Parts: sequence; C-alpha cells; structure tokens
Amino acid sequence: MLTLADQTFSSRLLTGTGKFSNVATMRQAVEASQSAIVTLAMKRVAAESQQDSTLKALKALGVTLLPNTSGAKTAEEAVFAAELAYEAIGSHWIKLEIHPDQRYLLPDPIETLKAASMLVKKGFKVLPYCGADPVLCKRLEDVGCAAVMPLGAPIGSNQGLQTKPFLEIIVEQARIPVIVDAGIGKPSEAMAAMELGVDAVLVNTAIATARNPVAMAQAFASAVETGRQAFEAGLGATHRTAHASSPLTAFLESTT
Amino acid sequence: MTQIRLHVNNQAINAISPISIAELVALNQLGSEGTAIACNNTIISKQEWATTYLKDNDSLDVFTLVAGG
Repeated sequence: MLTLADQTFSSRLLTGTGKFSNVATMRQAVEASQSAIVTLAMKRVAAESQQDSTLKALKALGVTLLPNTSGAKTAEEAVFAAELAYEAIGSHWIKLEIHPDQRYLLPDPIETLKAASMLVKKGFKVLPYCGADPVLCKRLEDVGCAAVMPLGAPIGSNQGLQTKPFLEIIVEQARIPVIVDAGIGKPSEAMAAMELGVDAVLVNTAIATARNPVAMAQAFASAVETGRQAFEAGLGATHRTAHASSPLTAFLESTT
Repeated sequence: MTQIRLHVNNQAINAISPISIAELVALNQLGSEGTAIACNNTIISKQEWATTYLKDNDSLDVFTLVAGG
C-alpha cells in the first residue's frame, strides 16, 4: 500500500499515459500495470477537433487521475495549469513539472519550489518532479509537498537510475514518500529503485514504447512488487571481500 | 445583435453577440468533459459558463486533459 497525503493506493507503480500508439492499448496497459494513479497532461483544444478519448477511457478504469503541469516554464504558469486541471476534473492532485529546456527537459528547481509553495497554500496535493537533489527534496518537503519525484535520468531517455547515489540520500532523509520519476527504462531498474527503498516509481516511455506495452506493463508491475518485497525483507550487507557461506574446514587440504 | 471578434486559443473567430461561453462551447464543439476555460487569463468555472457573456476582442483559452507522462 502506498500512502500519499493520507490516501492509500493499492499499487506502487504509477503509469504515464503518453506515447501509446492508441487509446485502447493505453487502457489495456494501464489495466495490466495495476496502477492506481495515472498521469495526464493539459493541452489547448482546437475548435471542432476530435476529442481525445484518453480521459474517458481512464475514468472507466476508476484510477486516480494525476494531471501534470507540463508546458509551464514558470511558477506562475504552473499554478495556472494546476488551477485549469482542477477546473477540468475537480481534483487537487497535481504533478508539478516545470522544465523550460526542451533538450533535456530538466526541472527548474527554483521555479518548482516557488510553485510548490504556492500550490500547497491553495490546497493542492503537490507531487513535484525534481532533480535528484537531496537538499531541494527537503525544501519541497518543508513547503508541504505530498511527495517528491526525483528523476532517475532525463524524461523518456530510458537510461535508468543515473542518480542512484543521490536517490539513496533522498530516501534516507525524506519524511514524505519518494517516487522516482523519469528515466526508468527496464523493469530491473524499477526493481532496483524499489530495493533501495523508494515508495513508488512512475513509468511511461518504457511501457508505452515497448513492442508489447501490455506485457511490459505486467513486467513492471511484477518488478515493482518484487523490489518492494526485497526492501521490506531487508537486504543483506555488501562487503568488499568474500564472506564464506560454508564452514571452512581444512579436510580437503589434509594429507595425513 | 452585433458581430464581435473573439480569440479562441489564439485563433480569431467571429460570433454574434450576445453569446455566452456555454453557447460558444456548444457551437464550436469544444466539449465540456474534462475541459477548462480561461477568459482573458481568468479561469471561468463551468457553473458560470452559461451566464458569462463574451465581449468584442475577448481572448479565450480552452484546455482539456490529454495523454501525458
């Protein structure tokens, strides 16, 4: 069970809905992932355009919708996007993301902290996408965020846990849930994140762009569950030298 | 009945005044489920769409939730 802002969720895998080849596949993959929380984005609509049926499909699944503020370049724009999202679906959950640079889509820490503080005061449950910076994560916790979402690697890069040593420090220090967002490319990486004690992971590209997204969603669901189980079981210590698993009797060398 | 010019998502359109946001939404099939509208950068809640009438040169931003990560 994952607890965010006093609400419990049955899965520690959050799924993003972008990049799927069609809505039916997205819906099946979300179902297969057993995710209880899925992300969405805000977009301007063109008049008389075909309505995107993503929202309808997700509402039918009964999952918690987590709209993001993607596209916002400043704290003010992000707050505006969050308020629009609230108006659109009547939920205070918001995935705060402010990444002005298009090449690496790295989150702007200063605008993110500013927006987080403003949104918490307005009653939003804020989940900020942020760099794997332990100091920033503490600051985001201090202003009242419901969780922190440090990145493993740039969005959609499938590079895995490039920030692992820093994620370990964040997990050690955080008093709010830690959700690794962005960069996870393989189930083994999701499992590794869970083993080091993060509360949840968010996966989108790795599922959506797999040859079989539904099967990949299942693979991620298993990996996240196994990783969590391992963390709760308590991993054994690592050593630089060998530590014998069998009794070291000397009879093999004995000549007498 | 006068013709007014509105800017919907930065696209100029002509409309006949009086016209409410609700009427504009229906006329242009902008959809209402999961839709949010801001008029001159102020968000107008759905309950106010029917009673908010648009003026010449009003700028509307119409947003909806779509697939995203």
